[in-house]
Amino acid sequence: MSIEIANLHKRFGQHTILENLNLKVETGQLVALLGPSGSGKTTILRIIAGLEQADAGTVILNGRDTTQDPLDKRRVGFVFQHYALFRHMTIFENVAFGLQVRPRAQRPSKKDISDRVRELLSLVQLDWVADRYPHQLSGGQRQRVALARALAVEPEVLLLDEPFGALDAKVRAELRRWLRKLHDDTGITSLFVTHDQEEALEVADRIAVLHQGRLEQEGTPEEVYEHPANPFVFHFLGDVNLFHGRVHQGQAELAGVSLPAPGHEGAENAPAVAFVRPHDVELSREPEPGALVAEITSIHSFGPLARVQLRDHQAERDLEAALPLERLRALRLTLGEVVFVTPRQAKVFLDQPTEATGTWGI
Amino acid sequence: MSAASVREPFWVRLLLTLVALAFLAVALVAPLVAVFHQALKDGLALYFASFKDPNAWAAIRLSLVAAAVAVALNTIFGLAAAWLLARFRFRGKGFLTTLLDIPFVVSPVVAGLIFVLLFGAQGWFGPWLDAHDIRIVFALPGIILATTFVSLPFVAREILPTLQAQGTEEEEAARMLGASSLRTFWRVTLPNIRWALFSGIVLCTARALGEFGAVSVVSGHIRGETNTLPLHVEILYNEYQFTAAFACASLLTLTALVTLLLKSLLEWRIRAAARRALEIPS
Repeated sequence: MSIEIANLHKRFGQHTILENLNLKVETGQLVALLGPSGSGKTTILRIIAGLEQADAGTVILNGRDTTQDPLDKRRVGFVFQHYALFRHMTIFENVAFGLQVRPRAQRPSKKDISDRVRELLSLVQLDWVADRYPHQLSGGQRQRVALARALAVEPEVLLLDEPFGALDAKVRAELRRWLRKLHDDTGITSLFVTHDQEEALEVADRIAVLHQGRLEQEGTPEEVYEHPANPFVFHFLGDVNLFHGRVHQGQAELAGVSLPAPGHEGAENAPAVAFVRPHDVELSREPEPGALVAEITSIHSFGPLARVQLRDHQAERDLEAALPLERLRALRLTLGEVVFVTPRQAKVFLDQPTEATGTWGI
Repeated sequence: MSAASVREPFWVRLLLTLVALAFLAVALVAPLVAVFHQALKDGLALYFASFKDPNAWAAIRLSLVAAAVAVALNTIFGLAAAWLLARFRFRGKGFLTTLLDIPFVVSPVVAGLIFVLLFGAQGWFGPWLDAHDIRIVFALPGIILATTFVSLPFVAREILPTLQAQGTEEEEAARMLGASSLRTFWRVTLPNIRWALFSGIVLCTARALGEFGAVSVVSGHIRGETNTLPLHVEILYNEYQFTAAFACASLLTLTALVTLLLKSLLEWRIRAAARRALEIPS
């Protein structure tokens, strides 16, 4: 059951929320809509669901144009950030709701509804809370109930709006692994909205990166992370060191650093910007050709990677390096020490307005 | 900061408490006691005899009919108005919200006069109504109109904050699960606002039963026909039938006390529901 949106436009007053947006989600995939707040990702979800109307464009669910369909006819499951459980109903009644409101002819018998609800509640591992009320459950439990409720009506696609946004870090991490497993078990085509790049990278089959109502890039987590299409995507997917400079015949000159800039062999002294991931920054005590000189301003050594903040006094910029803990210990770096910094590789973008529209098929 | 450090000195607290209590005693408790004392001072037999008068019965019936119709109308109006104000954004919304409060700020006498001006014999629609033999002023329709007007805001005002606090997510969830909008209203919206709705209906009923000014202007004071209970009390009082007057007054007072009791029970329910809804999810 695929989802396809074409040429979607949405304005609110003077403000453009979505601009000529195209996206296709193939059957059985779990796709993340990733972007900062205000990028229009939730609006896309709400338009697909029918909770909002686009100014122009079409929504095609499973090959059928549903743009004008009433929202209760779209066979779309929706999971809200704040769960939106019916507070005056028990958990059982919440999950049963979608089956109970069906027209009499299509409504399952009481026993069938009961069996289905029990089955779904055990799928989300919450069969023991059937008789409780939503306010008696934790946030993580509530969201699992919301998911069971959405699945009860056997939707063709599942839309999740920041499903873990209101949960604390530990529960978030648990639930997203659990969501991935649930998706693998049920195989339902799913689109979920998040502003958390780690969540998108970890859970999704494919990621669509949004920025100011436009699709910046679409691809597998690996593609998006390793081969970002433009500076925004690079910047948004993880921490970066930023260098301004020029590119000349495939070589970038960045205020004291010279690095190869593959793909820009034709550039003639063009202004450019280069991004270097912290784990691509090498630290050393020995002077090396082309190294920068910087002072260590802080060291955070929790987790598998240690993070070192540095200050390049000459160029007046801050740098960040990430290195394995063993390497940090071996180097015996201390605060205030002056070390040599070598960027191993950089992603170079010419200073041009980036065009990021068009169709990306998934 | 500890609680003690923000506390006023003892004498300030004592003084404020005494002022409040004294005010309550003079303005609320004493009149309440007086009503029942006057009504019952000549014995229970005379008290109950006051209600045997057919005019008293007619007044009670008329008050109940007028209140029932006004409350029904205002419940429908209140639900529609609150829903409109809570769920939609449109030009003139602020104006409409203000308009809703007009019955609170307009003197009831003025409200009554407006209806006389519109529907009275010399009024705008007077000749037309006369020609079609429809009586509004000095008849039941006028009394219902006046009662509806003065008790108009209660239901809408009580529901509106609850409806706004609730947000639209639960309704959207119901729609996404395949429920029609009507079904969503009955199964999701209404249960969520039910205590506020009851509370509004209780207040509206109390106001409708007790209304004097506006009804007094449009009723014409025809005994046994267009006298509501409050008007009947006034007539009895003016005729020096104190026991009967206070007996009828005690009925009105009793409805007020029941209203208060119901209201505090309902507020307790509304607060409990709001607390549950606000519980921070972990």
